[in-house]
Amino acid sequence: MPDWTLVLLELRGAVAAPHIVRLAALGVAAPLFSLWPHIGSPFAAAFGAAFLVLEPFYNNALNIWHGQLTAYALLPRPWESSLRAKGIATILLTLIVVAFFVAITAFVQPSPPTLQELSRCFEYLLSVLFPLLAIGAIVSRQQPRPGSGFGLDDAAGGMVMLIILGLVSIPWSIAGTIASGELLLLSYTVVAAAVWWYVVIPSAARRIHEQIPHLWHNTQTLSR
Amino acid sequence: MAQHTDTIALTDVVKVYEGGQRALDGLTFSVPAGSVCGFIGLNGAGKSTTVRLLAGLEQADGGTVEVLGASVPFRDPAITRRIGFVLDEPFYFDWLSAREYLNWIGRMEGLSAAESSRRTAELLEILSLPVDDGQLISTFSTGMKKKVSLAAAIIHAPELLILDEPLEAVDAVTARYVRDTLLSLAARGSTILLTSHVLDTVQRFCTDLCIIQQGRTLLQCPMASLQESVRSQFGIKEAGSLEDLFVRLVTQRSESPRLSYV
Repeated sequence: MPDWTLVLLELRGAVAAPHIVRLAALGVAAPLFSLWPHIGSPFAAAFGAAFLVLEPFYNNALNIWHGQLTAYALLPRPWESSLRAKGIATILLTLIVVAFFVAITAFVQPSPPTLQELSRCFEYLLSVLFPLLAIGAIVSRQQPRPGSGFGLDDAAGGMVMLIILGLVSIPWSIAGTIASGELLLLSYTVVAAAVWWYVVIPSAARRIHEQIPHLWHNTQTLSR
Repeated sequence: MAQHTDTIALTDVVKVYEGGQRALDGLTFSVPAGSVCGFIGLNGAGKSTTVRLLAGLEQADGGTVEVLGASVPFRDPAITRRIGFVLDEPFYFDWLSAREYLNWIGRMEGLSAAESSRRTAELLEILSLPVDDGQLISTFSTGMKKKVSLAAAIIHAPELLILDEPLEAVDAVTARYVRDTLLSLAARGSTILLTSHVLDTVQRFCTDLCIIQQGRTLLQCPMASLQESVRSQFGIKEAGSLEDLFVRLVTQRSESPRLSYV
């Protein structure tokens, strides 16, 4: 069972600055990009912007706020429970932010999106969500930043996020070109979710527990 | 060798930072269960490093660190629940109000929602912290932030309190309330290890004393036998106050140096 007290804290923290500023800035920019005719799907920019906003929740999950690693390390909770709570909060946030950006994008489109287009968006979201969480569990541990804001390392983190997003979008792109692609994509999504929940989280929790002094030292050194 | 009555036991602990700086150089000391131990030393003596080792945030390069009978880092999170920490580095979420944060910590420490809320209200009142949710911790002064850390450390009335400079920047009235609260916790069996540079407080408040210098234990004894210990170990007959004694022990001089132009 996820720890809902932790999930709620993560959600509460998501609206704390500076994330909310990113949300506002990219929320305006994304629909404008969607009007650019060469971008492919009109919703591509909305997804890119949503994952840029939420990048720290995926790739800097242990240090979204200054002091978070220390606080979580001293909590009487196993890391597995904390990581599951963080993952669930990230999924909920992603659903909210993507829905928000997609809605704004749809609003500025010359014609309203069809149900099929929206369904494709949802398929895409589910297909990239769990691979992003799984990769984020590794990046968060190996490339921690002392916090999340608007520094150069955050910009670099954003670029890395877009590259990873491009890579995890490949299965969705392939599925769109082959027969029974939708079924294959659904199977892929279910397997990715199971791998994240049953393999990646326990493994990441074990490694974090073993590496706390190392992670903590890195975070402190970087924040100086 | 740690005795089973020791709540904290460090044996020959070595901690070397990058660049070869030896923060701890064979530190050995123990804190008996139920005691209030003052852990004092000059700046850079290794106090905060020791506290971080006890919290499992740093790893010793040698020796053993045991807390509540378990090796650090703890395998069982239930042990963490028995401890309250105040570290030199704050680890609260400053985008919450004091009430929200303490309530959350209470829940995390296993209190029911009602109990956490009740204790939060009491702590806010005793420590003169704002009850207004519109006032976030980020807007607090250094002293108020310290009070939030303290409140979070004691909300679950832990068996062991490890406090790094708990009264630093805290106003005199609150400091007194905090001392009384800590004494109440000690009276009901909690063990307290605290670092402080306010030696007068340490002398009046602590039952045990540990002085460290350059990462090694210089003196450890019960406060009641301080005079006797310094006489037998250092040949100092008239130790005076703890401050006088501390200055003599760590500087090898009994008078303060004077500036030539003053």
